[in-house]
Amino acid sequence: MKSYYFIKDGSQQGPFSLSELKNQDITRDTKVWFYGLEDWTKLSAIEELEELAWQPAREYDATNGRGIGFFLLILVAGTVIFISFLGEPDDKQNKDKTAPQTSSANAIYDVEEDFEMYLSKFYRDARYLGIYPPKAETTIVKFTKLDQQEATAHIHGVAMGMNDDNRIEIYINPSAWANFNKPMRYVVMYHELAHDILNLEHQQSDDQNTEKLLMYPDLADYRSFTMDQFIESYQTAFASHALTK
Amino acid sequence: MNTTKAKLFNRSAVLAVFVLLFSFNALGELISEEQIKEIARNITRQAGGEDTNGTKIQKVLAFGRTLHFIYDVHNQWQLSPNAKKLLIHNLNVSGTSKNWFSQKIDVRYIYTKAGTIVGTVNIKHQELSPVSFGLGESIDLTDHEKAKGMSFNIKPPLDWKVEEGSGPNVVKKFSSNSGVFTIVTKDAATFQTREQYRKLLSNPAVRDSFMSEAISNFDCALREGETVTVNSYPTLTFTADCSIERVGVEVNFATQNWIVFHEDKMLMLQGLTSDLLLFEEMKKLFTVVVLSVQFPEQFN
Repeated sequence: MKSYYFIKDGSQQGPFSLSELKNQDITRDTKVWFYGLEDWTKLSAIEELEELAWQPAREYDATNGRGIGFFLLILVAGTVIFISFLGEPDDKQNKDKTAPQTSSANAIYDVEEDFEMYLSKFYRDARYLGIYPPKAETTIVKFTKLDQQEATAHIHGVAMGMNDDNRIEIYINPSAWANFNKPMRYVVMYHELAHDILNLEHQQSDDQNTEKLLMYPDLADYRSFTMDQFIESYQTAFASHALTK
Repeated sequence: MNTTKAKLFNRSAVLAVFVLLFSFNALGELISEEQIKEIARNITRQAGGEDTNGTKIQKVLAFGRTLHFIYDVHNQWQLSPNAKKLLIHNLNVSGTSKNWFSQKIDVRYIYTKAGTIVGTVNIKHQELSPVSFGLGESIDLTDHEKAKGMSFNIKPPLDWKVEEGSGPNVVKKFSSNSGVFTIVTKDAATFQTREQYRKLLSNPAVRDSFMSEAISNFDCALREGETVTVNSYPTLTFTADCSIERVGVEVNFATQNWIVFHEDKMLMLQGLTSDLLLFEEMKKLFTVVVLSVQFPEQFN
């Protein structure tokens, strides 16, 4: 059986079988070696370990205590995050994960994307369902390089204006955005806007609940969304909100 | 073969038919069997001389809605295996075929030699349809400034002119001598799923409201609409008989409309023709164009 080794914090770890390796605290950038490799090689560059390097992204909510560094950032800002981790299937494995080191504010940049379109449609659809949220005085919806750091955190969007009716402040990860299809983009935007405009919290879901929920934080589940499912999910969320008002 | 005489025959015959049929076609009415007899008499009077291949027209008779062209042929004459194809081609070139088709007139060519029939060619009016059902290359309108963010493509009828639309919501216009097909996009009030739209369209009052709005620019009489599916999206289709005043002249036309309900948009497709007798045939062509519509994004 093949044995695998990797380097963590400067020291060699292993040997591990392939199944053991899958459960280790490794990332796409982790240097791995096994008999047959000339030198330590990044996981993402090893063809036979491609499966590990590209495991499905998991939704990750920093407010739930994962991703310490970023959690602090979010805690300070009083924000709600829509986030997922790539390559880390087990939440317990992520507890000591290095958080993003780059300030998101430094990485904000303008790219041609009509976020205003999502905003106006959100207000339109809210009004259609009898919800008339106040217009925020400040509206910021921008791309920011949320994944430009060494850690594996992969954040799709951040809403920073929750519980502040005068502020909509949303940052979207451009690399995630580029990979999303149309329903997925609507889901991300309406999710973040629902945080900031309607002050909606995340909705919890369990394995038995396969319903597509707009405010469910596990983004990986949204990948199979159709536009019809997106529409049903936001209508359900808006209708529930309207009933509570 | 005396080509000059043949051409003269064609011209005079066509003129006679055109003069008689023009007003009826414009009104969208079928002429009577008695009037077809009159056409036969007129053609006989004007059709002196030889036709193609040395055949000589004797007379034209009408039985019901069938015109019989009776020819004398010389001893060596033989019916060409391609005779029917050639005759249809000649009728198309002269423009006569459209009249026979519109007026539902069948034609029969009878060739006689010393009073004995030596060959016949029967052409049903349906074989003279002036409408071609071929389609051109697909046009992707995804990034069109008037597409309102909708992603779709469509094929125009083959050899029709493709132009930009002139109104704020008119994306494209396909046109030919026989009709016009326009592509219009409009915003809906909100997002609706396909199922929600289907439920909405099951209400006759809602259907009437959409239909009336779609043709509100014209004076129209609506025919019954129905809900169909276009590339998986619920669609309301209906026919309307309309008129519009242009520089003091009232123009009658018939339209076939499709309203495709797509997320928070409506794609409105309208085919129209002022050749009312040709409408049913044009409707088939418009339907072929609508069937070419694709919304590729739904499969991403």
